[in-house]
Amino acid sequence: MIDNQAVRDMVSRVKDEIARMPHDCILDFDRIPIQDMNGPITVFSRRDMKDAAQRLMKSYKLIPERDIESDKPGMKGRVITILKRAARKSLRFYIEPICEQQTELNHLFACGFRQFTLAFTDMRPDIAKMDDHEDRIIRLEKLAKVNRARQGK
Amino acid sequence: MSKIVQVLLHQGYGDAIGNDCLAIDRILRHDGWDTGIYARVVDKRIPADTAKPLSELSGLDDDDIVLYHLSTGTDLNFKVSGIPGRKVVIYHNITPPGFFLSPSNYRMYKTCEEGLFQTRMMTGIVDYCLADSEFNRQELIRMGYRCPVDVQPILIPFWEYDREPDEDFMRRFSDGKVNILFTGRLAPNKKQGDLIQAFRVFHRLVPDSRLIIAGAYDRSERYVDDLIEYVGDIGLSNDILFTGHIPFDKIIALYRTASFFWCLSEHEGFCVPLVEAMYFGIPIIAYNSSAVPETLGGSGVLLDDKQPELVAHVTKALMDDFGMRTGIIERQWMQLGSFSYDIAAARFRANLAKIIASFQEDSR
Repeated sequence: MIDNQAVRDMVSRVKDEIARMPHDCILDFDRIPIQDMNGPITVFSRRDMKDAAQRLMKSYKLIPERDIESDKPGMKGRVITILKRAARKSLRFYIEPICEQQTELNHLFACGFRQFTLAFTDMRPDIAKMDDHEDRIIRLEKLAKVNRARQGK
Repeated sequence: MSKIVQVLLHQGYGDAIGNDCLAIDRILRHDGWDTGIYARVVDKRIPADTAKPLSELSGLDDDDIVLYHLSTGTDLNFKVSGIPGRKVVIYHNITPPGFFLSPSNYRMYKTCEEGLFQTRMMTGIVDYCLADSEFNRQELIRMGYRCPVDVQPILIPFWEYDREPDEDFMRRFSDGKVNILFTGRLAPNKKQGDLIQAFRVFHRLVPDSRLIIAGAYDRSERYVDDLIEYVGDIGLSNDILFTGHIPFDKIIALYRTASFFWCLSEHEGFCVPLVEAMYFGIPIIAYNSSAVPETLGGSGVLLDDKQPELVAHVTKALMDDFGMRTGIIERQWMQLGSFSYDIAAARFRANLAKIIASFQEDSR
């Protein structure tokens, strides 16, 4: 029969092993901590990011021609409205390709942002690993510099 | 005193409080007491002669005993003072409202907040208290209860667990995968989100594994939607299963096929699922909070930290160490003995004798 001490020993052994592992950061399922280089940690709500992505997906499309009316009352207002609509229609050949281009750009951005929010949880461990690699490269560069200096002597 | 009745808000079918109530009723009847269960809501699956609507409660004298099961916020907590007889509260714990601090959970927040307020207000009308655990007992004392408060573990009808499990579930979950199980209602205090995070790490270590979160949920609660959405986002929809409310034979099948039982809950008044896991010989890995260490009684693996990596790697270490795993199961079996039906029933009889003696002393 094992005793409590054996279980505690096993847990502390596992804790030590984890401490030695590269920090494979796991995110809180609702909060996403993002740390700038040496800066403060900003915590974003996963839900907020997803809401923003959804809003973007809904509103990225530009409409080249909108229904317009004049604020002026009576006949004058009606004439202005007709003229504005005519002007819009006549400019459509110019505006529409710009809107399409912008819509495409917005679409790409919205999709990219959505992908980012979805994939972010999986990216964090990679970011942590990249940080590790960067540290190692800096250390190796310093070592190489020292070695070069020694060889020079 | 000639009558002992039990009063509660909801006589459920298969839930811990409902089972406890039925078990007490069985003991009282066996011992020859004139007794009955009276609830505001009675589950349709409960036999008609077992529990009656509260409106049918009558004919009590001032020296009869009313055992009132207190577990939530309800106006019944105040109305129970109007029922004649000496009041004994059986306290099953109320979740701290802080766990439900979000707009979508406002209903639960208010219910728990009112429940705790009402429990404090009831100190003056209660003559004796029984608490599921020492943790619950201490909570009552902190709330200002000056009457005697004794511990009475929940009476668990273990023979029910020997029923035939659901064949379909048995086949489905005996496919060689490592099944990690948690049973309990989906609620923020039970921290199913933490289970998912820990499983995310475990799944990398043991890809042939699944997490089964068995328990009723209400889709109107945002917590549930968030959990389900999160599981989809991290691409584990096929490996994490939310069963929702399922029949008892399916729950038995889940216990029979489970490899590990995880409990990362942050608030439990007793935690019957831990005892169930002990019964089915499943190694338990649990977070040290509220009444969990008391129920485990030194068995299982109790973690002071629920870092996902720790939960996952401890589980993997147990998977790889047969001796440790069986040793833990043996200790759990020993602890299970203290919750055996006979021991809990004997304790109830002893508590009841103390209650009656205390009331007789008062009336002298």
